[in-house]
Amino acid sequence: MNIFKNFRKASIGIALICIVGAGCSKNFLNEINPSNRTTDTYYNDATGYESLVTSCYPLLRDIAQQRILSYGGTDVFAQAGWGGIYFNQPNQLGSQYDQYDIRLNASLGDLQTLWDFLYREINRCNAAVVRAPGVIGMTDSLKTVRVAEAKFLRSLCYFWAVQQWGDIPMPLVETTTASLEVVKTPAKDVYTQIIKDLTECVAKLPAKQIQVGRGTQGAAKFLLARVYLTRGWNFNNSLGGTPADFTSSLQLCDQIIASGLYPLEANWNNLWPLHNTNPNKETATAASSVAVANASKEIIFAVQYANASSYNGDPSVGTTTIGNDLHGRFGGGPSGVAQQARTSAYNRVNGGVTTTWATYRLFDPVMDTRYAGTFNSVCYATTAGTVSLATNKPYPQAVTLTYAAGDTTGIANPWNAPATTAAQRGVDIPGGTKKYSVINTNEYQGLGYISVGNAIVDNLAWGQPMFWKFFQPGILYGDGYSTFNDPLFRSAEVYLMAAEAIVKGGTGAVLGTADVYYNKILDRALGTANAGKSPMRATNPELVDDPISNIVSYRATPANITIDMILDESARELLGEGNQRWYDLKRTGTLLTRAAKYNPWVAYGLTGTPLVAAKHYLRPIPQGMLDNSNPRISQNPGY
Amino acid sequence: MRKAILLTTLLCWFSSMVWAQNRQITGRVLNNETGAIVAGASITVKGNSKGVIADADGKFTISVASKGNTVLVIQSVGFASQEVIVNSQTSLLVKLASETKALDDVVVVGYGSVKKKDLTGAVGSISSAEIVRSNPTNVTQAIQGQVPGVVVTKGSNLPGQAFSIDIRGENTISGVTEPLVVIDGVIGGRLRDINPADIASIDILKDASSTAIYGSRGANGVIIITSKKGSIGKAKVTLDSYLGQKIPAHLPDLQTAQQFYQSMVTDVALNLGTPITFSVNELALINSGGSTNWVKSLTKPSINTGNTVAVSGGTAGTTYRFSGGYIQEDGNIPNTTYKKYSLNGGIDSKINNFLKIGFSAYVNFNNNPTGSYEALRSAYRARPTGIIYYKDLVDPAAVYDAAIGPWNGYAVWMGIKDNQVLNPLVEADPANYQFSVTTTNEMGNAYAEITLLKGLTFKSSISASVIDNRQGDYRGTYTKDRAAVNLPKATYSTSDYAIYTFDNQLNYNYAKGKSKLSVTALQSAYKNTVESYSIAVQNLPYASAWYNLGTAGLSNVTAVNSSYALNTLQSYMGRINYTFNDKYLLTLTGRGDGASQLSNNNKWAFFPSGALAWRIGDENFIKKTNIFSDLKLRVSYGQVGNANVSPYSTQASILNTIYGYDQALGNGFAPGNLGNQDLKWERSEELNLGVNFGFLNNRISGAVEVYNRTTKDLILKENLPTSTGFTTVNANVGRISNKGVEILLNTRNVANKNFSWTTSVNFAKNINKIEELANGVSSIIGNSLFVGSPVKVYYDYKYAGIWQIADSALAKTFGQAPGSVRVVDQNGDGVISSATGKDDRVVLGTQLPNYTIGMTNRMNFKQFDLSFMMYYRNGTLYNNNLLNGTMGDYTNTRYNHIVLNYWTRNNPTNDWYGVGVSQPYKSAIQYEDASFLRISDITVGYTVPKVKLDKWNLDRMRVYLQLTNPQFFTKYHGQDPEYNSSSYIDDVPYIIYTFGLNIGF
Repeated sequence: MNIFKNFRKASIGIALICIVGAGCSKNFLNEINPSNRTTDTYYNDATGYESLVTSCYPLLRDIAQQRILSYGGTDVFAQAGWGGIYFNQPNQLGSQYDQYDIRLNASLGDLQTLWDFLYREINRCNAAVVRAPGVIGMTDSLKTVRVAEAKFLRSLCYFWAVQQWGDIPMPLVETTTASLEVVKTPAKDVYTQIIKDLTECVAKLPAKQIQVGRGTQGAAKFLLARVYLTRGWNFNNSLGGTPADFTSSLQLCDQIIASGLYPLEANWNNLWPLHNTNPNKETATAASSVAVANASKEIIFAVQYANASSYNGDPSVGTTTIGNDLHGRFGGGPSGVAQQARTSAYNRVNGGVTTTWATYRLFDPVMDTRYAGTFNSVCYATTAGTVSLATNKPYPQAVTLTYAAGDTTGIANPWNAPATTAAQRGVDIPGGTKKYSVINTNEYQGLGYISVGNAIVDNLAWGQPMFWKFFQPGILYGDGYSTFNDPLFRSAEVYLMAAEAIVKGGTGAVLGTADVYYNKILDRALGTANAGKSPMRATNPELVDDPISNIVSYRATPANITIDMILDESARELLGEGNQRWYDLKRTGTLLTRAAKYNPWVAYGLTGTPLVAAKHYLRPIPQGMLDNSNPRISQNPGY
Repeated sequence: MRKAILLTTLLCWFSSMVWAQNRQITGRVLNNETGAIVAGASITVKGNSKGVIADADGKFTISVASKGNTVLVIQSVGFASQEVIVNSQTSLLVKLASETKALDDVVVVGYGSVKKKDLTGAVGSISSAEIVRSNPTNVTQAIQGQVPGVVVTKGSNLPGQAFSIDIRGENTISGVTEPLVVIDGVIGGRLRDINPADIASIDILKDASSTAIYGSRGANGVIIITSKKGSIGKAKVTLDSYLGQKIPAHLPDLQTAQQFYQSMVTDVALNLGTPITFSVNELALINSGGSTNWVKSLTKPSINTGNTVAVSGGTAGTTYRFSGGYIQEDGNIPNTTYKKYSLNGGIDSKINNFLKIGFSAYVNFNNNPTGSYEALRSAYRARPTGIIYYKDLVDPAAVYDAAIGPWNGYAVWMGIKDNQVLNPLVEADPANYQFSVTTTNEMGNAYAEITLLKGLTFKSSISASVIDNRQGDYRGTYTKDRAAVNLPKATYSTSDYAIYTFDNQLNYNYAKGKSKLSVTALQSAYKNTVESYSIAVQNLPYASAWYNLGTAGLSNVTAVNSSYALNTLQSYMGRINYTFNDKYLLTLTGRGDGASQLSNNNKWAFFPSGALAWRIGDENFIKKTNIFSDLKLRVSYGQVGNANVSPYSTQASILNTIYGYDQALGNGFAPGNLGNQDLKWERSEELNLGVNFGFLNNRISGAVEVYNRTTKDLILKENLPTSTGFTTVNANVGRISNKGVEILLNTRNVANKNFSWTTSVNFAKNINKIEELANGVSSIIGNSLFVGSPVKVYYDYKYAGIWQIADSALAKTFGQAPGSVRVVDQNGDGVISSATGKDDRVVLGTQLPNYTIGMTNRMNFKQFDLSFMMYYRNGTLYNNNLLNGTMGDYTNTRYNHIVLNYWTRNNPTNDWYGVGVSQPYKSAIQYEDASFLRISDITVGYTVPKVKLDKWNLDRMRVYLQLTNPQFFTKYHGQDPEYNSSSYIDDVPYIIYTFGLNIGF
């Protein structure tokens, strides 16, 4: 080899070594991420911090939509229909939330989901609380308000959690490092923390926020009133409550009323989306139907659902468009006759819970405007169609019916005005003359049509009145969700809380005795025509076949007012709202008595005797919490 | 035109230079064992394309250069090729030895290759013949049952199906246990994109010493794909074609309309439950004795074909190979298919005595429309009482069908008063549902190698892989998703991967006396970027698939996403191979890796390894015994690492979340995930003992490997208690061991002139065990991890039969009734509970197999060949998705079921629970052993005799018939025990009947 050749090789070698050097750049292993930011680099100025506080609100939608844990197994709602129970069939398969059997255990996904959402929300709020001092470029006064908002939302979540589960973990700072160790805080300490935070919120939150939907002083007072009321009842003597809590609660209620910021609507129906009984005559659009309701001053705090669906997303739960699902969570859809397929004319009933038969019988269907406002008892054909009744059992009649759009297809008579003659009935009943289904309360949900061991076909039958309080016309059937704001707190409930506080010994009421507060709500519901009159309910709502003459007034007097009476009134006034019913029964210690009395599934259990027991006042801690904690945390007693 | 004119010209010119002056040599070829004549052997002059073929008597005549020594290469199918040096002889007697995986075969070991006899680690190899033998659409399929310790599992029956590969059990628990794939130097390639017919060999590196050269990236084993190359000589053309028909087979037995009625009405009533109701349409069908078989209506036989043409050859210093291929596998569900178009080319050229360059490139285009996710599941779920065609409905108005009317003649809701499952034939219609993935994968590798000094070379190579992945998803009105009322929706998304590897390698080879030394030093830089984009819209005004998303309008855009991720890896590596006297072999390797995705203080790690081998069979004291024809002992130890976490795992990123304050936009950013600043390398160490042996002149040969691998600082997406606000975090959580034994045995059972029979059997058993978990805990129940148990276990109540009427009283104390699934009260406290301190759940078993056996038999009778492969997997437990989905769920009254022997008051069985009875613990009965024995394929071939081929100017021609998946044996209820199908996103099992043709000229 000559020198030239070696030189040539060496030069190539040198060139390659240079290339190698280039690959060894010092920054080669640095992580570059143009698509995202980290919490530490983003939450340090006003823009970043405002976005953090805003991120504390969207999860309220997801939390509010976990409804089954507050509806199922209560006096007013059950998850399934009650035909089999009515006919006393064995081996009933209903929901664990109603039957309170062994299936109501820690493995239920609903428990885990609610828990996960609550604590995800709490962590976001904690981040907003602890990061505030380090934020630059923001006034202290604004920071104070934002921190108070975060504490308000955190208190709301802790309050839900402590009622469901009792002793719970209570982190108050943002999680930044992983740990499997979990410490449960006693319920009474959780209450202490909530009251401390909310007291601060009452002091620091403004009466009104520029942006609607943020936490306000009124919202904090409402929540604090409810927390005091709950602690006053002092579940199992474990909350550190005293009778003074009832007075504290009452004072807050009076303050809210006196503020004048949240006047009751003159007409109860203004609180709900406008909708026509007959969808063929509907004039409201999706947007116009909720315009009045969403702006109602009676609402103290509501989960917001903007009209533009793109404002409703929360990628953290894998969805991009969430609207309010409240309209579809209650049983009682339209009759199948000439409704056909899936229609948006009547909102989609997506399952969830159905009203117990006792609930209908708590209302005066004529005098009380809330009956027709809550239930739509007439159903119309939305398209033309025919129905053949040729093979009906148990009442075979060879009839073919033809419908035009707008024809009546079903009527559900109110409990106190049943059809009494055959001629008043539909042709699916022997002797019936109407070409639509006519049903009485003791036939709701097919009670009149069950026949053991036979396949049942009744094309005409309609189940029950539609629970249409929240129906919003014009929204899409499938994934079209409502833009009706979900009202969590409204001032009507303030009056009922005050009444309850007085009954329990709260002192210093501004308006008078408990019945005064109670009747305020009742009279508004009766309307100007009937105000002051005595509406009548069934004396025994749980006996669906009781004579209709067996009735009793539900107007309150200083002498007759009781907790049960207030609970009946809150059922009528607030049915389906705020995910509240289970908490009301738990607070007042009436879950065992009222649920077993009014909910046929609870009464039935698995074999005819109620299984609901004292342990059910606390839910099982979700299995995932047990399994993922180390050392494993303990389960609530009895599970 | 069979031969390129240019090539011919070149060859003629080349030949004319060589054959200036010639002389004649005559000879005869015989079998060295039997002495039988070997007809049709090819005899060529080495380094030259010129050659002749021995005649029927094994005789040949060839002309060679009159001066100097000439080397003749004698080759024949079934025999090891032999080289004979011709000095002055004019007549030769050549005795060929049967081919027995000749020890001179070269094995690729990563950044180099060694002769099989010099191998120190545990490496499994598969040759081209094995790869194409079963006509796989996906190369991975060809590996199943071929190499002990490599478990290949099907993921789906869809065309273009994915397979998973585990090498030596689960070494990690974070989900990614797929080995590293290196395709002609392109690291991180994708097996499914390669045309199987282009592959020359697959080498699978199993032990840590072998994979150490790939450091962190080889922790789960390495699969090295070497594509076919040209060799110096005349241009050779090969054509490989097959055409098959896929027929649906091995389907689970679904209920008929009458069975469905019986189970949901008659027997429910008998069990005191509430019977279900039927529509008038259903009742008419039930009463008429008819029934609808939806699976049969939905599926049809389909086509499976593959065609590859390749040209290869070379002239002095330069070799080349080009190929083009087309593979098509249609699904049994109409309008589903997988089409693969591939182009492959490579050139290697020795420019002069110090520079060698080469280039290879693959371009693959895959088109994979798989249609409706719901099609098969709908066919399994749709009630047999449903009606296919609208005209057959007794009363469309009694149900939801009337509102829609006939769609293409179909009854959309099948005449059932239920609107959850659509008519499967409607669902599967491409006018309603389209889902398609198209992938373009361009891979290339270029290198230059220079010889710096004698024995010292420097090689620099650049590999690039660019993958363009496009996915469209269209769901029309008449799909489950759109519920037959909503306007269509569509999503279009793309992911673009750009992967570069830059390797610089110094190699030094030195030999003196009995010592041979080979040293490799490597510097490597790797960069991987992924950019993705997707847009989803709803309410498209008309069916336009995903090709006109704008027509939905801006208000109907439901999601727009784009993202970017980058990770880099930097490595330095060194390897020394030292051989003494060809008997004592030593390999030492060290590699340092730096990974961008780990935390700043933990980016770098060093992984050493070493191996020793002793060719004890070559020692005189063994030779004297005359027992072994080959014997080698090996021991290796090595460490490898794994940094298999997503980029940015150590960072706490933020998450966009939107709210509306009344109608005002609130743009929020919440804490998105929990960063782990302490995340570090997962590290495995492995000891491997190996023996290679051969008896009776290697008529029996094989290898045994025993290994013990421990992996510590396991990276896991660990479940967190959600009271933290987060669900998971990437963490180092514990230590796991995999101990196992692998046996490979090759036998030549018969080796006669006209009949030969060889068998290859492999056995592998792996014991996976969690040795330790972080912080000294004994279990992480949320992740199903238990010290002392394997990974991928099921933790649940144990099935104890069905509560019978005689046990009614006892059942009641557990809150249950006769007909319910009974589970074991492990602690005997009279309560079934999962609460802390009284947990009755136990580890039921693992999804990992206990052991696997693969066996391939090959027979040759004259010109005929027969081969068949069997595969047995023992001890996999699945929570059967078909049972836990609606198809086995007899508490679900909405949908059809597979036929199971369920409990009634008149049929007190323990096979399946009762209808109409509450089933709080039904999951316990759904765990099933998925052991199976499969006859994977049977092939019969005929090779046209040489005499005929010569007439036709062909080198080779073989035709064959093949039967794929003709039978399997299992107790598992389902489509296929190999994988746990829920029938969602799947196709039916099948048998393929194939005709194939291989031609070479």
